[in-house]
Amino acid sequence: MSFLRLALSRIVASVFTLFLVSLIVFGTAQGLPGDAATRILGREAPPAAKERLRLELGLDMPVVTRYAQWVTAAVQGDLGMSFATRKPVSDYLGPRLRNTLALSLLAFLFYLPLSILPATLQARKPDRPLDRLITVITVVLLSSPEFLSATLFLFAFAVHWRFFPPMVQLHDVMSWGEYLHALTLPAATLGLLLATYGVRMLRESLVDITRSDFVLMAEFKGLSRARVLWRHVLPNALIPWMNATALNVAFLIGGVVVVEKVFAFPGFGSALVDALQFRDLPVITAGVMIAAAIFIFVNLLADIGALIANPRLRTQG
Amino acid sequence: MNTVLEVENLTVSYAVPGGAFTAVDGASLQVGAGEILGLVGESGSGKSTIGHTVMGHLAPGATAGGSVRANGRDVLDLSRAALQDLRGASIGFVPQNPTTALNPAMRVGTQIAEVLRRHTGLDPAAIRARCVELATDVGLPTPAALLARYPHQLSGGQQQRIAIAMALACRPPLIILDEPTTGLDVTVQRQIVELLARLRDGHRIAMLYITHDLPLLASLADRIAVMQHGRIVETGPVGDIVRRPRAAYTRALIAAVPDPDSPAPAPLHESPVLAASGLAVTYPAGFLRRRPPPAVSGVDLTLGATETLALIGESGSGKSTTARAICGLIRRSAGDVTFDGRPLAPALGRRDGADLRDIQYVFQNPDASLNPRRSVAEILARPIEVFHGIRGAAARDRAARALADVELDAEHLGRLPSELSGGQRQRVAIARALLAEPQVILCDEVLSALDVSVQARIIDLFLRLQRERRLALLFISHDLAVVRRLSHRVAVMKDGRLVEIGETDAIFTRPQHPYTESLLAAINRLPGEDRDAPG
Amino acid sequence: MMRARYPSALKWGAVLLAVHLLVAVLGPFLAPWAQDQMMAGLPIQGASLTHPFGTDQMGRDIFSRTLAGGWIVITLSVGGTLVGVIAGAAIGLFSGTVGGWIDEVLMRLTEAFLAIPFLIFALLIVSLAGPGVQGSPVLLILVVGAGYLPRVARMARAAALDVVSRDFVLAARLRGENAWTIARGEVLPNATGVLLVEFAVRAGYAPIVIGTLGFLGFGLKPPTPEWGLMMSEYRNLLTVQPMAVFGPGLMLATLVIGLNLFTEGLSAMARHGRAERAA
Repeated sequence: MSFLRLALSRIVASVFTLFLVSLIVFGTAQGLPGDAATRILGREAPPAAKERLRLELGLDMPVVTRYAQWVTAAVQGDLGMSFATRKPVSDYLGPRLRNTLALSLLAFLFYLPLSILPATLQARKPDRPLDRLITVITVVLLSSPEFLSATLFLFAFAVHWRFFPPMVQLHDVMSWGEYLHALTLPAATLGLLLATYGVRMLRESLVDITRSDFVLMAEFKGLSRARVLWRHVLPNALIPWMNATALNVAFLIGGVVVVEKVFAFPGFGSALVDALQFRDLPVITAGVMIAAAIFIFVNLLADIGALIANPRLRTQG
Repeated sequence: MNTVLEVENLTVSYAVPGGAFTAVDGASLQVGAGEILGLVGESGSGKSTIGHTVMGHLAPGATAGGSVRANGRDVLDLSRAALQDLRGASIGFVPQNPTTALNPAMRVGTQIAEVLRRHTGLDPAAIRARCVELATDVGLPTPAALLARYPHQLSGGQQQRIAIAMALACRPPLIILDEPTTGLDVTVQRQIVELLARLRDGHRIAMLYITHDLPLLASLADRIAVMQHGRIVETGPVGDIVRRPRAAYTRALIAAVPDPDSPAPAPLHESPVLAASGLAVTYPAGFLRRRPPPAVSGVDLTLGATETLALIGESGSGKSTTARAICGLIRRSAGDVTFDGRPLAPALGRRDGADLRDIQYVFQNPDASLNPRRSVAEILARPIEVFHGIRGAAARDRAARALADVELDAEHLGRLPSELSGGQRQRVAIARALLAEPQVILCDEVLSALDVSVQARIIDLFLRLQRERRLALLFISHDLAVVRRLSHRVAVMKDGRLVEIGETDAIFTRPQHPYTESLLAAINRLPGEDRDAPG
Repeated sequence: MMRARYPSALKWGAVLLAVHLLVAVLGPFLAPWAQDQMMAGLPIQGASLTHPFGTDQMGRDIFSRTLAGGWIVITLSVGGTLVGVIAGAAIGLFSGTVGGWIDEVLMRLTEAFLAIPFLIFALLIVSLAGPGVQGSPVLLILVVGAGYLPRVARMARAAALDVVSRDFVLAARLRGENAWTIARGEVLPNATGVLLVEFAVRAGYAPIVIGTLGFLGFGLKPPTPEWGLMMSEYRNLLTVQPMAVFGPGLMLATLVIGLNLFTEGLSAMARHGRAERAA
């Protein structure tokens, strides 16, 4: 009973957050002081074009009405028409989002072993040479901007050694093998970049747990190292790590934008950047809302996952 | 008698910046089969380090010399694999705090079973049967159901029973107990001690019982070793140690233990300065959450102008909540509180400066109640400025005088709390309360974070302060011996209600409520010449 | 008092930072060419002794341009981080200390801002600020500050909550002190360590944000020698002249590595200090 109540309150809170985000995004996009049409088209744009845009944006209506119309339409799946392509936003973003989802899932598959294995190695013997070495590697990777490391990987694996194509081109007629091959390099890059955060957080929480009383107690029972690690340390370290990973989705989305740009990957991130460049307002608002919704949804999943995984929360009351 | 544990000339030292710190300094002790050896000492004496070293565990950066022979082998020389075979099978360990020592994400039954799986060849069905048997052995009701629970679903006493079952699982000849009842309520403590005595007699299990609680040891142990500054100053049978202590430190330790049987201060029969009637505290319902039962309800009590009223009861009985509702830190949901005949508002924000000044609060743990980033002078300056509007040199003079009142030098003014000992910190906290020039001080377990010798000096300080000033004390405590020494009257709380209130000696000799009786029955006494030694 | 021991990460970080600061201040004077001098060499030359990072399409010396970029990146990063940390800390500490519905409202808003990924948020602001102010350093500072504000506020609030539940704050409330006095007198002194580390962590990420915005074309405008912008300008030289891309990239990476090592050491020291006080 208590679990359902907790889960329900998390869901309500998430929906409320999404509502606040929509206010922020709508506010920034249309409610900024000054004339929106001038801001979008630039001061030098012809007055007629500005007037047309004003009508298109519905600027003659009150803000509240505009917001209500926008939300009502969006909830029904109508995200408006793109200024640039004159096509419905959903038709334009939909396929791009699918590509990015495939990329992210593949990246996640790289992320899991790339973060769990090094962190476990580090936590086995904290403050010893191997731990220090991995720490240095993660600090270096973490400190390199995504666009630098992505460019470096592109240079190494697509230009120097031609294992992968330097530009990712996706068509409808590709076989699964070709599709995977095209996705591998950007996905591996993304997975590795994300894993640098994952390794650090998992190491911290592993080391924390390793120092707790119940782990010492497990050792005092004569249990083997492996059992102490797998049954006592990891289950307790994974819960905070799962939540941290969900928060990392924010980095993932940022990383997606950069990696897609570097590999010329036809995904959601590059579509959003293009829209921002052209100030394609309907695509921008839809894109930002989608990014925020994904973030909120993944964190909701992690929260509920933590509720399920943590007996203290699950069996309350 | 054959020995199951023989520690010889053990030295454990830690590398610290600029040298080494010796935690254990040439300690030797033996535990015979079926014997309970009590290892007693104050905080930092190195007693827990000995316990961990016997388990073959040294803190990072620590080195050990000497020998620790358990089960005929020197644990200091064992390989990791041999140590893993020894732990759990030949030496059991019962930790200080079962709440943190049990894995929160694993059912307690599994935590017992994994010891058996590791060290015995039993099949799963036999392991299950043995777990139930163990749970019954340690006195858990409905063992099968309890074993399927997670640690947080058990009470503190039940958790500690699980930890004991874990230590007993493979019937080891020796168990190390590291402060196993600290933090448990006195009645639960009593039950655990009785359980341990039964296990020793029934299974002939030897125990090394580490604690700071000398009266408790006197009722359980066969022999006692007294530790100070890493050395064992004296070892002997319980009766010898308690009645004819040889070492000066042992004598001081025994002298500091308050006697629960000496008469309390005579009742005063004063008109009350503080009165609460029908006091109740209820916490609000949360989002989608039902309103919890009231934390405190229907509490009536009065406090004379120079009286000490003790508020006793076990954890969760509502003692602290009552005190906090009186001073306004927690809003009361019903009832009246009057001071000197004038009513006090439920909320802190609605009380005026005089209300705030007249009732002061001293917290349990001075580590938490003193801002670690402020010097003693800055800490003491706050009440002087807020309540008396004095700053600068005059304030400093007053702070120095307040320190003298609590028997500290003015040189302590420049120190940070971390540069003081625990007892000194609590004195600073008391000085801060005195600086307000209050009429009432609410003392919330102010002694429980302190060593027994420090406790004795703080008790004397309170007695002197009360003699010298007109001061009423509401003294929350779980230590009944201290209560008898200090208080004129006693109020007993259980489950948020006051079950009994009366003059101290009357309560101690003729308790009316069965709960009070059980509290009194749980008191541990030192055997003396004039008293009967128990057991 | 024990002799202080500095973690090696702190030392190495400090060394890297010192080198970068020195280059940022002296770089423009030490550079072999003026950063904007065209035809300092033949266009698109590979790395050589005269042109360590080669030359670009206009024959500018890329090494000289890289040296000139340091102070821009550092100034913008520190400026943006300061704005974000000061504003965020003030809001977070106040929110955590005062509690109640004010805290509730502020934190719900913070959560909503946090749901928008930092980079997307930054891109959104720059894009919607309009062509007039795009590329201005002040806008970049504000963007970085605005992006950090909710993140820092959440940390500061957590630090405040940690302190507010402690008994010495209850003692202050029993003296009748108000939220503002308590936040300043009791909470802030205990949160400075957290805030310092927070500043260092954020300062370490700011160059990446600024570089990324530059790389994506939303940061400073050409011909500013900002490293991210340079990497995007020279991206099509990658196959013929990789040092044009990796030279500025290396500078950016080493600056951030220095900052992160420094932070690592700093927080290790803060942890150690806490442990020492607790003991």
